[in-house]
Amino acid sequence: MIKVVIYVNKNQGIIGVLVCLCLLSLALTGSGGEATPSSDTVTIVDYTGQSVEVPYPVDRVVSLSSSASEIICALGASDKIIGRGSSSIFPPYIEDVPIVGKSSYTPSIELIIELDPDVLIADTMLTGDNREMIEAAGIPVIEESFVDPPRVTSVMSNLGLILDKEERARELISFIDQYQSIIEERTADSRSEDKPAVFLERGQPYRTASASTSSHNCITTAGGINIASGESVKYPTVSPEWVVEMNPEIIVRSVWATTGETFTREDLKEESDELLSRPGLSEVKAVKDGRVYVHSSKINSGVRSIVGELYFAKWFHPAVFEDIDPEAVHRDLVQEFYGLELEGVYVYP
Amino acid sequence: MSDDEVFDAEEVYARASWKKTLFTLVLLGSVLAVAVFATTMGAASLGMGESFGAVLAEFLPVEEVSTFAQVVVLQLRLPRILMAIITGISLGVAGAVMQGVLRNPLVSPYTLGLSSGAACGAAIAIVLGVGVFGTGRYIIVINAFFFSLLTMAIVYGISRMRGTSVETLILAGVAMGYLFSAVISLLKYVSGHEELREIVFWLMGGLYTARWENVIILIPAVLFFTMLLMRYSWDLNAMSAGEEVASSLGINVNRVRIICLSLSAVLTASVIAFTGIIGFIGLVSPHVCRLLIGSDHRYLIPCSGLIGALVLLVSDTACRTMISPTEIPVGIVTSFIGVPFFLYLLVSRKRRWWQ
Repeated sequence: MIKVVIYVNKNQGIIGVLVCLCLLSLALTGSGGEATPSSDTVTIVDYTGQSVEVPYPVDRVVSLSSSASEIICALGASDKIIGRGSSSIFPPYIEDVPIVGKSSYTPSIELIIELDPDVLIADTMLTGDNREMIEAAGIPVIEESFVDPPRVTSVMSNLGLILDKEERARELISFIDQYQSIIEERTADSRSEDKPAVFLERGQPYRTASASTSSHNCITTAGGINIASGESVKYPTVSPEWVVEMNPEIIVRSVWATTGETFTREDLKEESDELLSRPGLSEVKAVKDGRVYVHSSKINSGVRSIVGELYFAKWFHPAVFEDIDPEAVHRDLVQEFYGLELEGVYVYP
Repeated sequence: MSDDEVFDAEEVYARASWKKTLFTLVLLGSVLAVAVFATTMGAASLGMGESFGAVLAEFLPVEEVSTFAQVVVLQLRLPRILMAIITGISLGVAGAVMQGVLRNPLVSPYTLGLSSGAACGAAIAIVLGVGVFGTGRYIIVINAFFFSLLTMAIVYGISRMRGTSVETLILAGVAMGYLFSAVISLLKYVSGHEELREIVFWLMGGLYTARWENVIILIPAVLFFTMLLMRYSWDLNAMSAGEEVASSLGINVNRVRIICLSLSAVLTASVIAFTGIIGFIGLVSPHVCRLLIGSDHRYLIPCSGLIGALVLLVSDTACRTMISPTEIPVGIVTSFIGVPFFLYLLVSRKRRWWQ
């Protein structure tokens, strides 16, 4: 009991000191001097393992990564982004932010130094030389990877921490986690013979993805078997006849969207028709059973990748995920975290 | 040395002609043999019997063949094999004619800027024309064809301004090639990463787009233009002795030149519009032929075409099967197979094949 009281007293003491300091600083401000920014900093460890010390809270951010921009906006800190890579196009209101390069690979060092942000966030395409140059100008650099869902979660909490949006970051993470655990729980007990064989096509005809790619992980998480997992090339183009022989139960075609505009149902139908008209594919089980799906790559990266995963899970196991409506989740996500109405079409049929 | 061997010119000529005819037939036989062999090769595990059975079942009421075998062999392998053959023929023929008409060993559809032009047209279609892949298939083909011909027209037009000298024409071609490459680089730089992949894919070339409906159009076109070009063999033979000689023999050098160049350009453009850039074959097939049978265009043109078909078919079959089911871009394999062979011929043959 006594101990507790002492602690309370101590705490009160600390609060007292803080209040005094606040009053003092207010007094100083009032006396016409610039508000002395608190010398507070926080240190986080980025994907490359480097400890990065950034001012706390960060006020001015340059984001060269489209995924990072999406996260920052979802955290409600879009007003803190003062420069972006031109590939950052979601949410649409980010397009008002000045461009400081195309991607992490081609940043404009001069523009970045001129903006003098508190921190620069890039993805792993940032070259070592560029990182050194930006750091030499006194700008802390956080280099992150946005491929692996657990890593993305820790990026979200890191960004929440430095932007002083920790509460919001927790909300975002739990929004994503609840659906991720639904997928995990429900696919965990499906036996391997219940898992459909999936052929995933990325952009170019017959270009697919082998193990250790995010596409492969997405198929596996959603309870499917990637027929190309054993290939030695990361994104191989495979023989059509091999696909016919493997006879996948499901074909998923990712259509790449590099611009801000969204697809119409017509666009995605055309993609689907093109695939269905290819010689030989008419004999494949997926085509015979009508299990060919086309989707926009926008639901496969950044904050929205959970939407893509839900679609995959539902396509692979329609009975198990009957109660899940990925489109509704998508709508909730953009409404809750971006204040936007869902526009455009992302999947076909 | 016996007298008749030296003096009986007719017999020497007849023997040489017969040899060359035999060589042409052997080449034709090899192309057919490799084509038959290639029908049985592929990522799908089909036995030789099944593969042939699938082809035979189309024509003869033989035993039942699985739908799978029929689909793989008839819909996937055969169009691709035919595509390899006609692409090889057109590149080989166009290379032989261009080298002959311009009397320069470094000329090919590639050096004259035709390929860069086609690539530029394709890149424009990929980056600016359509945002969604797949739907732009024919837009890319049409753009590539048009730009390729446009390049030829520009190059020829420029050389006409300077009195049609061969050197100007080749240099103009090389210069246009650089200009188009710059445009492609610019488009690559501004494009998104999936568009970039598609451009790179197009620049590497490949026969993966082969479909019956394309092959059916291309076969008669390629054969027709090849025949047409072969009619100019004698003119080309005369021109290889020099423009003055050819003129004194009554040949309208400029006319023959523009006709041959235009026909070769159409021939090249129509295939590379579908396949993307396949380099090397147009340059090297004619040289291989010259090393083996000399430079009589009556034989050189068809043989160069057949060599091109053979090299491309062997390379494409290798690229389909080496690390199957993953396919390697054919341009890589063509160079790996063709260059050592060419270098071997270059150092082992004593004959001066050029001039």
